[in-house]
Amino acid sequence: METTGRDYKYIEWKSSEEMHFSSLQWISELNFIKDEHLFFEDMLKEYTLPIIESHLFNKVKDLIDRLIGSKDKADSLLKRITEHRNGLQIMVDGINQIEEEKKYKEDHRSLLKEVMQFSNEYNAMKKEIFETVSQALKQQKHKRLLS
Amino acid sequence: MLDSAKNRYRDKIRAKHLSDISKWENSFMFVTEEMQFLDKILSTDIFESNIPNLYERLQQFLKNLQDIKKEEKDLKIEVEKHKAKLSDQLELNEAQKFSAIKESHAQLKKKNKVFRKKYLDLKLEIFNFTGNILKKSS
Repeated sequence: METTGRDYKYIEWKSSEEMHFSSLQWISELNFIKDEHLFFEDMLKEYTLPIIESHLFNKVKDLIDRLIGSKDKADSLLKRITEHRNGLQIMVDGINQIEEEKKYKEDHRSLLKEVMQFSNEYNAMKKEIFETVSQALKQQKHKRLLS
Repeated sequence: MLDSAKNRYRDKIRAKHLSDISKWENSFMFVTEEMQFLDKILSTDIFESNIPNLYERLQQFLKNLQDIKKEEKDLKIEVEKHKAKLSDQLELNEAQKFSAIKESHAQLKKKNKVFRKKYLDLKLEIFNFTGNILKKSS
């Protein structure tokens, strides 16, 4: 997900269209992450034999638990972003509602921070999955060569 | 526009461009690592063997992955060149060159978007195919 710390400094100047576009982009990327979750969960849960043999069992168990936590977080973020996107009406209805509009922007900022944090944590977890599975595959290959 | 206003405007655009470049660079780093992982799983015997055309499908994915790696490499070079131009303050003082940099930034932004979409589509295709045919442990 392409977000950096610099982004939320600009939030005060974000237009309704830009906030709408950001929400749609987050939804699309979170849906993609949900597909990835399925793949990694299958990979870690189903393809366990070489992993157990490679003494990575505890690491894999920890990764599966974190994947499940990440899935729940993605679902909750998706739900909140969808509600947020649906509430955009308040910004474009032409009625001057200073407090509500201010709150909408604050919610957007808060969601942006959460999406950024989620994305950083998810990428860090993915790196650990790559390393763990790669290690298991390497050991499996080594074992095969010896047998 | 007054000179000071022009300079402020250019500084603002320059900061935004550098921020975009930093995002692209981070994304390249991650995508490179991810492609190495995909390469590894596609080249390892971790799939059920009774899948029709398994070898051909895996080879096709590996080829597509090689192609997209090449695209990423070319795009990285373009971004590096663009970053070098942008970092050159002297060039930014000339309106014509500044406008050319803005244009090339917009083009690179489009290219990055197209590359990202293409890569995500390929990744999803690989996950959808291989996710269902992993060898089961029992």
